[in-house]
Amino acid sequence: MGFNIKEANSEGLHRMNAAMPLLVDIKFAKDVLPNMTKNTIGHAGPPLPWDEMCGPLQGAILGAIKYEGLADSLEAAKELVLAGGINFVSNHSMNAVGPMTGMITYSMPLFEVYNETFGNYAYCPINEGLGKVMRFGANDDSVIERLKWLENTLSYALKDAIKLSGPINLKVILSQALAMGDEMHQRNIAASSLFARKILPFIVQVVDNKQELTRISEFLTGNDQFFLNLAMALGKATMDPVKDIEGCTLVTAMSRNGTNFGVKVSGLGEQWFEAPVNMPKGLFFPGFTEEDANPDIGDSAIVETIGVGGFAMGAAPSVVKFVGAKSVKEAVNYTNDMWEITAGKSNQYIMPSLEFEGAPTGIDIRKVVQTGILPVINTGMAHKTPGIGQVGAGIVTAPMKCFEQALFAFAELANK
Amino acid sequence: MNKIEELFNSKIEVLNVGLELFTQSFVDLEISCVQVEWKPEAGGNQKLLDALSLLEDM
Repeated sequence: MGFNIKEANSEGLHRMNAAMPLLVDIKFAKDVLPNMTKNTIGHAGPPLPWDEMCGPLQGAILGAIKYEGLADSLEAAKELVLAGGINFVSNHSMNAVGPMTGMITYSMPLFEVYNETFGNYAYCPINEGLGKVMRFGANDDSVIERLKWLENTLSYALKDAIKLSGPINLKVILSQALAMGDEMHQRNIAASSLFARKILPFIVQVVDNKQELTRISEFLTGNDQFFLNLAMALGKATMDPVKDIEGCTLVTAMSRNGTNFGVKVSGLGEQWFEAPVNMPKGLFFPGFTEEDANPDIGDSAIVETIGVGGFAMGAAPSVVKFVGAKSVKEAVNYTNDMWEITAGKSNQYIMPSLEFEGAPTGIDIRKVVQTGILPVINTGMAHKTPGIGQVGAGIVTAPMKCFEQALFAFAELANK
Repeated sequence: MNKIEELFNSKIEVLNVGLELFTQSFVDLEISCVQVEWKPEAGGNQKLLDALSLLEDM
């Protein structure tokens, strides 16, 4: 098959740079995600069966079943799963992404992000907050109560606020936050603050009840990672139009389900190229060690797929200590390395501390294999036992095998 | 011979490509040495090299 990789990759890079992701609404999963039913549960990473799922993912699923009212106890929820009563779906196949365990279910409210340039939509749940949360596998009554509050109260306040404000340009917020030292994966404090500054003037106009308004304001301003989910939806909205460019060797998705790491490539369609996930290396919160950590999990590597997160670590010196990098110099070296494996640079995600260069953009599977340099991801680390939550943050690499398999598949296609 | 003597009597600055062990030897002798990170393309795997070569010219 004759295709022009250079032109195809140039088109892929152009589409990434031309994306215009806008937050336009809050929608419920049941209304917008394809094939979403009451018994469907979306999860992070490539598809896998129940018995291959890690502890936090199984814990989150049992909690999600309770949240949807399909069972009134975790034991009953498990029986339902084992009886084949739940349909598991990879979020990416539903135009959606979710952090860590990535739970998306029928009743959940989602950020709706519209890529104005290409007319596509992408979705991500609202960030639950810190501590004991479903994305880390927690599933007790406090977790369900918080999710119900998101569904029944916060989502409507956000929906009405966005209607009043009009579409919110997420690309601008990300660019500003990058210049302020965020990398949008493990450090979102600037981005979350900028978003709160944008939305709160409208929230106060649409929420009459003072008690509700207090809880909403505290929730929006009390979580440094709130913008992560918006960054993820931005990433998905950016990358989906890059799919299916004939001859394009750029990565359109990287994602992990806690067992396997999956990569999708533009010119290779919807096929996942998978290999066992790596274990993040980093810093642990007091009382926890490497023994406690779960392997890599989450759709949040979509952030690195668009060139920020670990790829922009050189622009985020304050994240260095949090993820256990040795020094700012090491962080800069990571970004330098990522420029070696990407097709080009971002025209909007600019890093002032790195001589105003654009973030490394468009991971080329050929360059990954040729150089041996693996995409680097900044990530949270979950406890391997569900229900305990985050135990630290660290750096992890994508497995080389994913890129090798993709390269062989591309060569086979070229030979047809 | 003079050029060799000149070289060995001048300040030597070394660039080492490959095994870091060699860089350490210079460091131990307090001789300036820059370590260049280098790996063989595709880890030297011939099948991968063949695939890369096929796609290189497309």
